[in-house]
Order: sequence, then C-alpha cells, then structure tokens
Amino acid sequence: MASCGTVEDAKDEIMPKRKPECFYPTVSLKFRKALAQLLNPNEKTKKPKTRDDHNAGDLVLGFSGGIGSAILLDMVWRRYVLDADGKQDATGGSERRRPSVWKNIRIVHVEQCAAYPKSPDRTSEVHRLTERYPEYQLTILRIEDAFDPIWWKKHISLSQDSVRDDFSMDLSSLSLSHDALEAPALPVDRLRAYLETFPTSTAVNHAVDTLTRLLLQYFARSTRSSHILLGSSLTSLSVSLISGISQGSGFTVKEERDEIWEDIRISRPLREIGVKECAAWLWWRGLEVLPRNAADLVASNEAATIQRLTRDFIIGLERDYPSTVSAISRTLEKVGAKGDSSGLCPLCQRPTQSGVQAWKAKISMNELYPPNPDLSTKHNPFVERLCYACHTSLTSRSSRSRKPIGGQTVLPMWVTNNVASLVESSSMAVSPVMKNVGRAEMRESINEFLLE
Amino acid sequence: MELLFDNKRSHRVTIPAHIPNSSPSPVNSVSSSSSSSECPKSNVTFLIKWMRDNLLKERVELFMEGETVRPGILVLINDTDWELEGEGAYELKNGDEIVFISTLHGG
Repeated sequence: MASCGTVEDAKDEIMPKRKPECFYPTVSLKFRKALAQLLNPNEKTKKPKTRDDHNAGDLVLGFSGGIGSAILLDMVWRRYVLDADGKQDATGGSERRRPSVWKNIRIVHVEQCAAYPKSPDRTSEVHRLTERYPEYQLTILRIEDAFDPIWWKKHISLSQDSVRDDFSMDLSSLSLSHDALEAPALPVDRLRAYLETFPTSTAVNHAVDTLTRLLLQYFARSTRSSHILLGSSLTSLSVSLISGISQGSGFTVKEERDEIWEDIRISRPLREIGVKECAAWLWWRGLEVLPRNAADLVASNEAATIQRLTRDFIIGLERDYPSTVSAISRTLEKVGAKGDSSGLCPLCQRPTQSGVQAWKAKISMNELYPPNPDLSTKHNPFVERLCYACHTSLTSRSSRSRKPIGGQTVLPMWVTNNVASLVESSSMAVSPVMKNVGRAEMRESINEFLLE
Repeated sequence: MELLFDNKRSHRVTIPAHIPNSSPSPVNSVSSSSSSSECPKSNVTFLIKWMRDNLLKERVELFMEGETVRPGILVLINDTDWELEGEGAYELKNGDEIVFISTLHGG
C-alpha cells in the first residue's frame, strides 16, 4: 500500500499526521531502509538480491525486553519470515518474494538480575514473550558469564587454548598484575566485586551496558554471525548518544549508531522511528514488553545517574519540542571525531583516541594527594589502551564516593584472555610515558596567563 | 504501567458524567436540578485525576506530573493519539477506551 496522503476520508490516528492505512507501511519503510544500508552499504544496483550477495552468516537479535527490541523481533519476523506482503500465486498458495538473508536467526537475551540484587530473574518471561517466533532460536546469556572461565571456554572461546582468568587490576594505579588474587569463586560474586569497584552509579550502569553489549558480540562471533541488530529507537538512541558523550564517549559516537567489530556489523534499524510510533506499533500489533517489578521501576526512576537524567530531559523535550529529538540524532550522525585511534580499548572494545591518556593527565586531577612518583612514571600499557570513557568510569569520583581507593579486582574474560598481548608484547607501539603533572609544574606552564 | 495500578493491564471504570462541583452550593440556589448542567462534562484530565485518587496504588510521580500524565506516557483515546483529540480537554463518552502506554521502557 502506498505511503501517501491520498486517503481523504480516513481520520488521522497518530501524530505526525499520517493516515492509519499508511502507518504500517511508513514505519516499515524506515526499518527496511535502515536494513538496506546495513546489508548493502555500497550497492547501488537494483537487481534482485540473493543471500550470497549479502555475504551473510547468522543474525543475532538483541532482546532486552523493552519496546524497541519487542518491535525489532516483530518487524524482522514480518519481513524475513512471514513475508508481510502475503501475496498469493495462482494456485492459492503464498509465494515467498524474497530469500531469507541469514541462515539462522537467534534471539539473544542477557539476563542482568545478578548485577542488581533486588531484581528478579525474568528468563521465564523471556521464553513466554518469544514463543510467538518459533522460527527463531532463543539463547539466554547471563551477565555473570563474562566472569566465568568455564562457560567462556565452552561457549565462546574459538581456540583450544585454556582461557586465562589469572590477571587482576590494581584499583589505585589501574595496572594489571599476575599476582595471585583471592577472587571469589562464583561468577556472580566476581561480577558484583567488579561492579563494586566503580565509584559512581553512572559508572556502574555504564559497566553493565558494556558487559551486556560485549557478551552479545562475543556470542555472535562464536556462532559465526555476520550481523547484530539492536532495538534502539530514535529517542533511545538520542538518549544513549547524549549520555555517552556526557561520560566521555564522544570519540566513538559513530559506533553507537553502527559499528563493525571483528567483521560483525552491528546496527540499530529502528533509529529513524520515534518512540510514539514504537508505542503505537506495540499496541496495535498486540506485542508485550518484559514486565518490570516495582523495585526496578522505582530504582530506574530515582537513581541519580547521567543516563536517567538524560532520559528524563530528552523525553521531556519530545513532548514540547518533538523535532529536537530527531535533530539530536541527525546532527550526531554527521559528527566525526578528530584524531586517530591507537587501537581498541581492552574494556569496551571500542576505538581509543590516540594520546588520550596523556591529555587526560594534563587536564584532570585523579588523586587528592601527591601521586606516588614510582607509579606515575611506570609504564602502564593497560591504562594507555583504555579509552577516555572507561578510564573516567574507573576513576571519576565525587565527595560521596562509594568506596575508598585501593585493592584489586577481577576483570571480564575478554580482558584477561587478551592481557598477555597487552602486558608482554614488545612490538606494541606505545605513547610516551605518562606522568601526572604536579601543581608547581602546571603553574609554571600557565604562569604567563595568570592574573596576579 | 500496570505495576502502578495493582498489576492489572485493563480497568473498566464508571465515572461521573460531569465533573463534580467541589464548591458548596449556595443556600439560596434557585434549583438544584440545574447544577449538573453548569458542571463541565468529564474529560480526560478529570479521568487522570480520578485514576490517581481511586486506582493508583503507589508512586503518583511515575504517572502524573502536575495536572497531566508524566512525559513519556502516550495516551490513546479510542486508538487515536490524544493530541488529535484535544488532549486533556477531550470530553469522555460512554464506552470510550483510554490507553496509557509508557515509553520509558527503553529499547
């Protein structure tokens, strides 16, 4: 059905003014356009595509249980399984008009209840919500799997070498050590110990998001998947872009929209669809979202985090200035970071801006007391590879800091597994040794600009 | 959203056809039967307040902000966006279906 304003006698049912018969095709068209950019980024011809043209393996659909991911499942199912056009051939049977792009489609849900002690396990609800898609394979991951060497070796590791979990991180210097650490035995306890190291609630949320994203990515790699789709709508993408920039992720703003990681393309095909359109689609298609319990609902609305404050701000903007949310996303689509990348951050696996740690040492004060000169001049390849956002998450603290600085902590499996190349490689190009700049030295460098 | 309303997704309610007059009637009123015609008809704003006073079990601030619903809650009146129906000023009729959808539940 054409998406146009020719149906004069139908009443507008959803803002912006769009005829009801046009709502589904219009929203579907936005979804398909985003998918076309993902599947054929350089293709300009109009010849019919086959599966081989896309060089596609399997598809992973990230399912958080929210509105966006519920709609994502439905749209992918209608497009690539149901064939929503439903045209019938002469004999009365329906003929599939397009081949399925992927061999297998997997729904992957990362259960986060271990990260939030008051949250219930919702995996039974996930099973119930995804029963309507029997063609998909459902996989439940648990966020504590990121700290489980046995699970990692069995499900994720591509090599037959033993996985390594014998490195820890010193919290005062952020250096890695091979010293024996009395780490908790259970992955859940290791996860909670890791999250306890973050000084603010914002940083904890950032860490949980990073663990969830990377579990999805490593699972996709282990299943030879070629694409990951996530259900971020226009509004939720704008929220994550702004809150990410607020936390120091400006260098990787493009990766928040689309990224390629180890030949896997990660995309958010609902990024042009507003939250109101998502809600209408959800209601009219009879879809459900994962129920939350009262404690979760209260906690998510009371936590004084950058993520919540940004969400409230942008949701409030959307009511009074709806085009602003679109403007945020479209403007940031055009933004590109200056400078080169020096590699991937070991924690979040996103590009690290070259020289960012040296720059950060000049502009920020990480300790209240004079730094230990031995530590400040010691070569720390792990810190040098950390991106600005991850380093800030680990070190930024307020007067209401959760914990005193010090001690050691465990790290996620993808860090400890690759740490040998970080610590021992002599061929790695490193930036000049970074040291904290003392107050006297800093004053001397800006002396001519000071007003006495 | 149903968490705030006794974990029930659907409520069938009966509310007054006119917004009750909260001020006391003057002693020398001409006719009490004419008072209902002076009261405005019940509208969506009245319904929201009625829900707060009669159905909402906890955390009013998660449903309302001021005299209207909190930002992020989409309201459909008979499957139509309430912005097209006059928002809170829409006068309710018998059998109307009002749907409140929370869009704060992310992606």
